[in-house]
Amino acid sequence: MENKDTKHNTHFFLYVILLSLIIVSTISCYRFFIKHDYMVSYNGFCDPAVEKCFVNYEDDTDETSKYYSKMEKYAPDLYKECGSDITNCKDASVCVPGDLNCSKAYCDNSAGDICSAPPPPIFIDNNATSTKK
Amino acid sequence: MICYLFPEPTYLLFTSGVPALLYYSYIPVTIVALFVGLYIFLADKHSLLNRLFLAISILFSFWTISILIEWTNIHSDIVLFVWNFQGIIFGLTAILCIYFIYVFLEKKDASNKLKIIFLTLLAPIFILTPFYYLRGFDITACDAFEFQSTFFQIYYIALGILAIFWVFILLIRKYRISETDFKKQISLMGTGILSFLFLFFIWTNLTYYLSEIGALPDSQLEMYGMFGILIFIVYIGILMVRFKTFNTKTFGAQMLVFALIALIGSQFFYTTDMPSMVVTSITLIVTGVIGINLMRSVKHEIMAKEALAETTSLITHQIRGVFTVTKGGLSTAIDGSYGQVSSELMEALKHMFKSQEDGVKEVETFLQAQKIESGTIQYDSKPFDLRAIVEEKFSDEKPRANAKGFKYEIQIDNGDYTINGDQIYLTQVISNLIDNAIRYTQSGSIKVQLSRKANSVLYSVKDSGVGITEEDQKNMFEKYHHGANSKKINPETTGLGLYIVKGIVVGHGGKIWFETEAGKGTTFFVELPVSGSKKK
Repeated sequence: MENKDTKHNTHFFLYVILLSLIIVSTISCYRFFIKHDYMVSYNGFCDPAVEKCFVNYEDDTDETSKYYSKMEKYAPDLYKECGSDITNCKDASVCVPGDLNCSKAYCDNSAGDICSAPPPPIFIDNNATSTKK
Repeated sequence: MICYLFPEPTYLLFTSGVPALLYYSYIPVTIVALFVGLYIFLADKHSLLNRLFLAISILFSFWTISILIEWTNIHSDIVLFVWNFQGIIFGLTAILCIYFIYVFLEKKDASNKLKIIFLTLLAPIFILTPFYYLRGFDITACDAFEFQSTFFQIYYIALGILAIFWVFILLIRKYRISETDFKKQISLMGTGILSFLFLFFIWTNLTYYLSEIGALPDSQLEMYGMFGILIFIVYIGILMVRFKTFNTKTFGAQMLVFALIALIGSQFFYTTDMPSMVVTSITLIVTGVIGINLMRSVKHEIMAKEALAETTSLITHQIRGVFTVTKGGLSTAIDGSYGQVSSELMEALKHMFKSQEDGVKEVETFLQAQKIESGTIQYDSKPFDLRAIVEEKFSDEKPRANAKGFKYEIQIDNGDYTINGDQIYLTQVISNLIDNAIRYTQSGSIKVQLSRKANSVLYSVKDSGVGITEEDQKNMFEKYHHGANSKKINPETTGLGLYIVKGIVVGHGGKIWFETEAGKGTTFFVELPVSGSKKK
């Protein structure tokens, strides 16, 4: 069907595409599998007693995961601190010195977020204290 | 990083955490796309059209597999790596669809200029993908974030829209100048590829966008985008069976066997008890064995037909050689090179010479029909004056027309009739239609006309014969077709004349058709583009 004279040109087109695919694959492989050059976001630990946390109302079985902060870390730092799994890794929920790009965001009512209730005020019972005395 | 809230998949993409429907929809479609792509490629590995279809099938399969991995895998590195190629898959699919349609319509490879345009359009995607396509990964939701910069969002969707318009314009332009048979093929291919492009680009991106802005509850409607390839494949199948596109000779039989095996095999998904499993297994094996034998038989029959055609062609060539040698000898004898011969012998020699000449013509006709059928005919296109040829052939046939007492006339409108084409073959077209009109008209008139259009010339031959029966009208240009009326007048007709004429006209990018009325006669029309031959 096709003219035989254009056979080499067809190959030229194919080779350019294949070469481009190989280059993109190699760079992507290096970026994602070796260098882990990307940001990772996740729900970090948050203590509603002392911090304003985001609340996950769907999850009412696990108190720990119900309240969370929004963490974002550079993947190589996270790999260094926690390996590939952040569960049971304390460093995952804080920005440690040396982290290249790290942020921890708390809930903000003014931004329209649904947040945990503010920590209850410390109530001092003078009578009780005196009784103890 | 692992998405800690989701279960680990088996073999990259199998997990209980996603709806089973996802596998039942994506995996069979991928298998069908790959199977048809490979099948078409293996039918004729050297055909560029077949290769391009395979490339589109592979790209589509990469797309479905990558979506499955994105849905099911929990490793951020793997998901990001796979997701990274989405833009490339979309861009390449768009460009390959344009390339595919171009080759289908023009029956030739794209020019270097066009290929450079294709590569230029793809370049931004290839250059930017490894660095700017994806920024990060949310391991709580197991989803990439900020994965589509505005540039990518606009660019690859724009490429899809460009492909739709480009393909549409190519189809319309070709449709307008094609003859009926190819028009049908263009309609089928156009419907298939445009449905695929629409569902693949517009549907998937639109539903995704609407779900993102909250107009749709979720992005599940996006999944229907993959069915575009099935529509495309169905139309490809019709083209293969009806028009032998892609040169897939045993396609019908193989598809039948494949469908039967798939149908029986699918029973394993819902058969749970042992006796049913055994029965299904036996049915599957028996069908497989019978199917393989059926395909072998069809293949043998096709090979036998091809072998017969080749042998016939070889014998015909040999016969032509013998005819030519004998004709040469007789011609030398007639012109007196062997000395004076008696008048009786001269008469016999002339009769033999005429007979040889007719024999050579018959053989030539047969060989030409074979060349047209196999697509091996070569046209030597050069500019020439069609008006001079029409006038010459009209004059050549005048004695025959006068002998039958016809009103024999010619009308040529003013204008330039220089066209680009193979003069020898087009002379044959001009001559054949006048010859047919004289041969099959008993009395009345014959009118030859030539007129000029903007980019083409229109040649017509009108006779006052008996007309063509309704039954014959359908097969008028078919090989070995003998019209009911023409057979009464000329029983020795080969049935190849109009088949060859049509082949030559179409080979020059022209059109041929006729208008007929019972008892009043027939007019044959030939429209030839001034630019000339498409095939060299």
